[in-house]
Amino acid sequence: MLRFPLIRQFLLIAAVACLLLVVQNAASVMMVHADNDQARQWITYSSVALLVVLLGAAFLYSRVVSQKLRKILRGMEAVRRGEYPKLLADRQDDIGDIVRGFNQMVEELRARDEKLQSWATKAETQVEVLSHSVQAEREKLGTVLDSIGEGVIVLDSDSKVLMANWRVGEIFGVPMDALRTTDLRMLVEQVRHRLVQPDEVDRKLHDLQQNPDLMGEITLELDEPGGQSIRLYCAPVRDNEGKLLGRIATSLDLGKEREMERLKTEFISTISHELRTPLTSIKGSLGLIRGGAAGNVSPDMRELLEIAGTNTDRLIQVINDILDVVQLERGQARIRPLSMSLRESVEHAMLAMSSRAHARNITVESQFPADLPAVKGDPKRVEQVLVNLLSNAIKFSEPGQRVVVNAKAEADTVVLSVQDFGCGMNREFLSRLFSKFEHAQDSLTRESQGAGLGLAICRHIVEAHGGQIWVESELGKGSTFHFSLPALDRDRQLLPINRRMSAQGKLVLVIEDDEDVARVISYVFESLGNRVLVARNGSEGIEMVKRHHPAMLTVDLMMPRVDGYQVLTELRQNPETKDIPIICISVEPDPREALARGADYFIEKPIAIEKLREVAVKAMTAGAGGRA
Amino acid sequence: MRIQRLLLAEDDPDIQKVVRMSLRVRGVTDVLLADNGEDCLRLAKDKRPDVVLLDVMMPRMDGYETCRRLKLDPETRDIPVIFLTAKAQHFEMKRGLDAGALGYLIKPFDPMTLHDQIVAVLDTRAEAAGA
Repeated sequence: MLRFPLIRQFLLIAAVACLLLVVQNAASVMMVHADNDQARQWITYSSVALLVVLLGAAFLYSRVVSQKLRKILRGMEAVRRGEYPKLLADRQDDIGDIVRGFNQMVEELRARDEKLQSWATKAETQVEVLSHSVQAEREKLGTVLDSIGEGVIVLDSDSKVLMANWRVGEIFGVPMDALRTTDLRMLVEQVRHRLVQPDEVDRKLHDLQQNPDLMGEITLELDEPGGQSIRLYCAPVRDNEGKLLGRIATSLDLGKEREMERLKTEFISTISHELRTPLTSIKGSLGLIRGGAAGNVSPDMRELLEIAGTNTDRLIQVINDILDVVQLERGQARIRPLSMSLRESVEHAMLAMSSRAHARNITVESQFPADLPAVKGDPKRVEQVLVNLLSNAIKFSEPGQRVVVNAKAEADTVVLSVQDFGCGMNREFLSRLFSKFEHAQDSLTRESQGAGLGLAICRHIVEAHGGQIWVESELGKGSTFHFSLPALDRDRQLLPINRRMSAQGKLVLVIEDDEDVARVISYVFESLGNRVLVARNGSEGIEMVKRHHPAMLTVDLMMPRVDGYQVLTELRQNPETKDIPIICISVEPDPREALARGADYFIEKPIAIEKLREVAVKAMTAGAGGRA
Repeated sequence: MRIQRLLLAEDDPDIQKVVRMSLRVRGVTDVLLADNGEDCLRLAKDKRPDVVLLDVMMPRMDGYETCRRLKLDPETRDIPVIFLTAKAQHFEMKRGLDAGALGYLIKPFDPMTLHDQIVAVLDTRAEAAGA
């Protein structure tokens, strides 16, 4: 098809116009040269006619073009309204091309819109699915939160409530629907009139607001019957890049906690009481029989009574340990730290354990540097730790082995170590060693005594002093228990009270095969401020005198194998022991032989305690050579 | 201090026997027995013992209340009271001493030294009074 582009149409018109101008000019020339009016007139008319034709053609052409352009404009308007019009492309010129281009553009637009619509529909569906999923998750989370007995609040970064469970509504007296339109400060306002310390709560809220990283607690002590007390724990929540998203606050009803604590205390108190009451009758009866209050006791009976007595004491110790650990856990145990000498505590503990060590043929040694600083501690409690560690070390050592107590200054602490070379422990057991109710079941010695509270008690005592306790152990090679205590500055060493105690306490050795009698004698000397060591027979007594150099001793005359008379003779013959004051205690009514062999005092059994106390005081002040 | 007459407030008959025997061995034979706090108050007023040995858990009136009332009554307030109880926690001891007791002995006790422990507590008071 013949195409007639617009530019060519313009060129054609321009060419015709030019031709007309040429004709017009030619006509003008002709008119100048024309010789008559008729010719001039024809030329004029023909020129005018040509001009009119030309103008008419131009007018018609512009009208056609204008109509086409208006159609296109209407089409564009329709597109703007969201329609997709199709224009008639009947011309083979530029206008026709524009119309076709327009139609093509509208088609592409329709296709694109349809595609977009399809995507939008898909996106809407996905959003709907996601929205349902989020809602379902939210409901699940709400159910989980509601199943929690304590309050949980999810806050945004401005402390506005995003989620909260029923308990929060209950605590603050706010309906669940209203919770989502509130914030933490508004919640606190709800209970402000019941707050015991509103200023403190305001300060905490302010701190939380100022410091996004703060993990804080706000205790809402409410002044109401029953003294309800709520503690809110606030923790920040961040995204992967560390930006603060908000906080999660959880509540803890301290009232419930206190009630649990009260029930626990009541339970412990009741159990302790109910166990102690029958044990009082058992221990009392056994003690009275062993002490001869119900007549003579045969050797077999005595042995059986010993077994019953020992096991009764073990039961009592378990109860005492349970009470001790409970009170230490609560921080209610009596710990009175003062400036103290570890050397003295170690000596006391070693003395307390010497009978047990001797019975198992274990040697206990101590190694102290001369310039060991004093520490801040409660002497009785530190001694309790040492006795516990020594008891374990002796229990898990083989006969003939030794146990070593070391002390050394480290930074601003003093570290004490109790080392044995016994069976040791495996790694798996070490991790829970200082927990309650754990004790080593030693397959070698088959020994396992106690409720497994000893090391838990040690840990609590050491930690209450600000120290640490730890252990190194290897199976088959032994164990070393270490614990640290805070050392005192050199210029704050040992208060006078400690030195005075040291000067007053003397070591007394009681050589007595009857455990009950030994206990009575020990009690008398201990009540006078002395430390007591007990030997179970004559030969053990002589050995302990040489080893410990007591300030005074008592000796029973009637003992198996090496009796009291032999003890007297041997000690008085030895220059190192000949001046030690000796009190003889015996069922023998005649004191003459004992006094002749070197006894300074004589007391008849059954022991009159006032008499023994009187003699003890006299012996300690007069020394050897007195007579009673 | 020599004990002539002792009042034991204790509801457990076995422990009553053990305490009586422990004291008898040491020469204290005049031991009055009360099964509960109310009887203890009455006997303390009527018989004027040298010392009252008091259990905590007793029917009708517990030991703390009994001790408090003994200390409120002008006729009995000078009689020393020593608790002998299985209540061994620190707060329980404090409660006993706060009620006005002179001492606090914990069960189980050593029957051979019970008398001396009581005397030691009484001596403490005598020393304090002397000072």
